[in-house]
Amino acid sequence: MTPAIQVANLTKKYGETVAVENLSLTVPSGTLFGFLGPNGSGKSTTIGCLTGLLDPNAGEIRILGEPFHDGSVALKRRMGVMPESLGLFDALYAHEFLFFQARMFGLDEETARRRVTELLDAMELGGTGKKRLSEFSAGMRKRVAFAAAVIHAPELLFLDEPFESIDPAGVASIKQWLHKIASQGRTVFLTTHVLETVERLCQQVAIITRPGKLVWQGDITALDRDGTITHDGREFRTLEELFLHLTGERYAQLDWL
Amino acid sequence: MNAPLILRLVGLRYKLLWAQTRTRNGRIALFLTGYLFALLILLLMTAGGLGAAMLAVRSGKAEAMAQAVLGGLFLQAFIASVITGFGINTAFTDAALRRYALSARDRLAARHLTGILEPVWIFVLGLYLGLATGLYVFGAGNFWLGVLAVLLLLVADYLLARVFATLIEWLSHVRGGTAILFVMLIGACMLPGLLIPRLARAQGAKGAMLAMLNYSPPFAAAALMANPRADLLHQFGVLAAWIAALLVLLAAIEKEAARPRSAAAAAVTWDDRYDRIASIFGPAMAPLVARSLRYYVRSNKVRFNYIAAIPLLAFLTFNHATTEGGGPHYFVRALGAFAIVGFLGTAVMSTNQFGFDSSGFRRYFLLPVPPGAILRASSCTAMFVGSTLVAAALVLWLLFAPVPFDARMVLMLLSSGVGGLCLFNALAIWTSLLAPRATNFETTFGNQLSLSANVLLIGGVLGCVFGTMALDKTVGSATVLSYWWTPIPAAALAIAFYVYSLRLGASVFVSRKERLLNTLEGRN
Repeated sequence: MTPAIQVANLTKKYGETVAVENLSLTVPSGTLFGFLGPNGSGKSTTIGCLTGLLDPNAGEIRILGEPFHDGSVALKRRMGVMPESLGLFDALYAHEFLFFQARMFGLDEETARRRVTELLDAMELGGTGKKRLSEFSAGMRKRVAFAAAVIHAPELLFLDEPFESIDPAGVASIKQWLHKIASQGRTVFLTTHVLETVERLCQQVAIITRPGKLVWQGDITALDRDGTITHDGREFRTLEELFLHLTGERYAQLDWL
Repeated sequence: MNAPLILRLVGLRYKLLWAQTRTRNGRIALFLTGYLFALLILLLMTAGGLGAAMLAVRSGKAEAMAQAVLGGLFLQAFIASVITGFGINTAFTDAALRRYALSARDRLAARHLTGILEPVWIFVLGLYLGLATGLYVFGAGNFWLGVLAVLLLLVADYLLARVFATLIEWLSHVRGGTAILFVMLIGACMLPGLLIPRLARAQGAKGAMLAMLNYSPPFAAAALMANPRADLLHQFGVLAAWIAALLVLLAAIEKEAARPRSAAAAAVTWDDRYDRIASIFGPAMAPLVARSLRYYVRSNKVRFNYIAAIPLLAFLTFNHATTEGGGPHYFVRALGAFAIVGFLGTAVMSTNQFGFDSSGFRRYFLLPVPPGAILRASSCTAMFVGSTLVAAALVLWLLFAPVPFDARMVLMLLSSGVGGLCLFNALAIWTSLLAPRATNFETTFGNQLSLSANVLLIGGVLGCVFGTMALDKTVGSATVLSYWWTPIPAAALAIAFYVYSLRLGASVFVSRKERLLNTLEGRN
């Protein structure tokens, strides 16, 4: 089966600063894939390169088996993206924004309207007909951004911090939809700092450290099955233990706190 | 009052202003501002201030001259603030200040202290002080009394501009407010032309008006500066009364404007007017144009400029037209007005096409369309909205212009309108790509355009209005009309320039993608 994402030697620099260095990664199709790393490790930059938002300095990207660059219009139509900053048009109403997104991704008018209505109801945003997106709470904005990413039922879904600010009921709904998407052979590539969520949701995980270097990629279903993941001859009982071991994150003591 | 914290906020305001100069545009703006500031201060303090003072003292009419100069400066500072938005940018909103340990009164003081210490008002203060110094140097006034009068006059000027700006901001948000604004604008443009000739003919009207003006801030300040026999208590009382009244009014309007306007829960209703209009641009462009159209129509800034464009240009055309050979030369002036009218109505957005999108800007590059289509859709929307103003101006001209019908005039005006629209929108593509600025969509006031966009907008208006004025004076309307065909090739050239700018702009848009992202998302 063709991998959903293949990245070879991806490098992205901002001036002299290296944000992602020689990153190689393969994401199998039909998986819920967690992409983890500390703040500033290059997760959003990597997603930016994989979605056409940023131009890599070096490396090759293949999406759904085809070479990808920012002009890959046909490929973009098969992808859904929820960027970290959400990318909402604040002067629009939620239904207008979702309708715009649906039309841009090629849905006909009738289907677009039907899906917008269904998504707004599913996201509990049905009563926001006269409220601009700028007036929405952080959680509501996140729900709209998620709805925009999935409205055209993409084959590959990128979600940058999808659960932040969303209430538990909303998170539960999104998790169920993501499971459904993956069970249909489509792929979800997500980043989050909530490792418990990744542990319960994802099958595969990649961990990167600054500056965008892959330090581990593997199957984490072993945690469910055996209760541990083995790495370098050591056993880790949680993803958090493994993450902290790999990224070298330490707990700093603040005497005054 | 928490004075140390308020002063620290004022300092922060200046640090933020200074931080803006770290960008290339900021450095150019700083250089030009500094250069112009120094030059103007020098010129005005000597010629405008000291010179006026010298003339005033020598002619024995020091108070009258001070009244005229201060009145003119007072009005010009007020108009420049309200129309161009200089000096009334909200550095810190009340909501933003709530995170600090400040009472409601402290927050009010902090907001207005940072407001009145904007560079524009310091510039105005420099001009006022020029006159006060001049009067003192030539022996017609007390220096410290003059300085005190100048400071009070500046506060009154700032507060008056703030009251109007806040009122207009509030009106543009309430139902029916746009209609009220339109009536206010028409009134402001038409009343002077209607009232002044009548007052000039009426017996005793001049005296009555002057008596009334004695209770205005500039006249009170002039008396304090240049009239040694003036009742100081009375004149200070006039200034203090104005300041107190304006403060009360401002507080009341700000309170009303700050009321939450969050919409109540309402079911989704599909309003597809925008989509229907956008469909004329073809199925591929329609969703993008509909999105842009919603931005144009919902922007308070655009709405205000759109309704103001025709009355303002009509005022400039008809009020400044001279008479020559028995008939007013409205037509030549109208050529300039037609060239700028379509652009004037949309310029706040079309010169900064992506500045209002905030994080939405990055979505453009995630869409399955070539980036050039985004630029095209955005610019075409500006052209479309602007073209409705050209059409409206032409209809109004045909219905109301006090000039006999001449088909050549109509053709020239139409060509001028189309040419101007294309030329200015082509230039607006370049300001949007090369000098963008992250801008708050919700505000009506405050000048948030980049230096280049300001140059284009202000230069465009002044160039068109005064250019045709000069043409009228040097060549004359009959000669202009005899060359009736000249605007047609000019319009064709402007169209070609627009099309070329769209094409070249598309590749610049792609090559500057990351730089635009950084600027528009506030990382630059």
